[in-house]
Amino acid sequence: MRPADPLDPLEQGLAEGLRSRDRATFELLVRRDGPVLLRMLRSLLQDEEEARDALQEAFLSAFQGAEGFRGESRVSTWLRRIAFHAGLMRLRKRQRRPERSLEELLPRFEEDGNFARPEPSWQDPLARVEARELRRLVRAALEELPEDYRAAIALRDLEQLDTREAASLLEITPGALKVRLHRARQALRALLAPRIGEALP
Amino acid sequence: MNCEHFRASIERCLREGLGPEAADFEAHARDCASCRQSYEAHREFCCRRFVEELDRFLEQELDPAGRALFELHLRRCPPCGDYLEGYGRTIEIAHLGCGGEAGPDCRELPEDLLRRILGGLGDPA
Repeated sequence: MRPADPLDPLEQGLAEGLRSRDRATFELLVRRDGPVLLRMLRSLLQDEEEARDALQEAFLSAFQGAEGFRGESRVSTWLRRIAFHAGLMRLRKRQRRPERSLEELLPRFEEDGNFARPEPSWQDPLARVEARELRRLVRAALEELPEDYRAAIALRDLEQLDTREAASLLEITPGALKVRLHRARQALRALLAPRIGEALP
Repeated sequence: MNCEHFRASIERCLREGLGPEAADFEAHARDCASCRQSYEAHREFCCRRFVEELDRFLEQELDPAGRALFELHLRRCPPCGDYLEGYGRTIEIAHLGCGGEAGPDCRELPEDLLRRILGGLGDPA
């Protein structure tokens, strides 16, 4: 986690404003960090209303706990962690269709290590499947992944955070994140490939 | 056959067989432990290992020897070529399908949401 720079006057001012519960500081942070946090929550939740609710909840929670902000990270990092947590809690509470077992979506191999069955392939779907339909397919497939795997894809592939940042939000090591992301991508590939094939005109 | 020739022939050997050179190839593999090891490593690089190392390949984390093995398998195994293609497409599609859309309109919060958040905070002081 990147610590607050003691020489950065803006960061110091924000930290002091937070701790003293200064209204103008709060508003500045909502305006400055709100857009990027909303985007992250959209990626994670794939639902506009839920993302907005989670953002509101996150800012409320941040402001209520502002006096406890110790400056061990930048203010933006601290807010991102709170917003991600709010999103993850919503993801966990959500009534969803049963998650697919990840194992059944991973490739299978013969004893000699070669593919046990041909994996479905696709040809240039980006050029041929309508963007809205593609979005619907991706959302539906993400919905079927276990939440920890979905969160890994949301942070790395959708939000394009680097491994260190994403691992820190998920509270796992970078190595563990890489393994999780790799499995999640394999599963997403297995879900999407046949559906994209069906959606091709 | 010397070591240089042997190593240059491994790929062809695995892909097409060696024909008349097979006896020389095998003789060198018997006599040279280092070349034998290299041949075994190439031969044992299966689809499972390809899939396991795919992410490290894309992130450019494989060392030169590991990368060479990976690329050799990629050249001689069409199903793995398809798998890699689909894997790369998945990342691209996930980003374009669901991540990219949040970009351009996201420089400012929608006004109604901004009011809702600030209004919901009450008076913090």
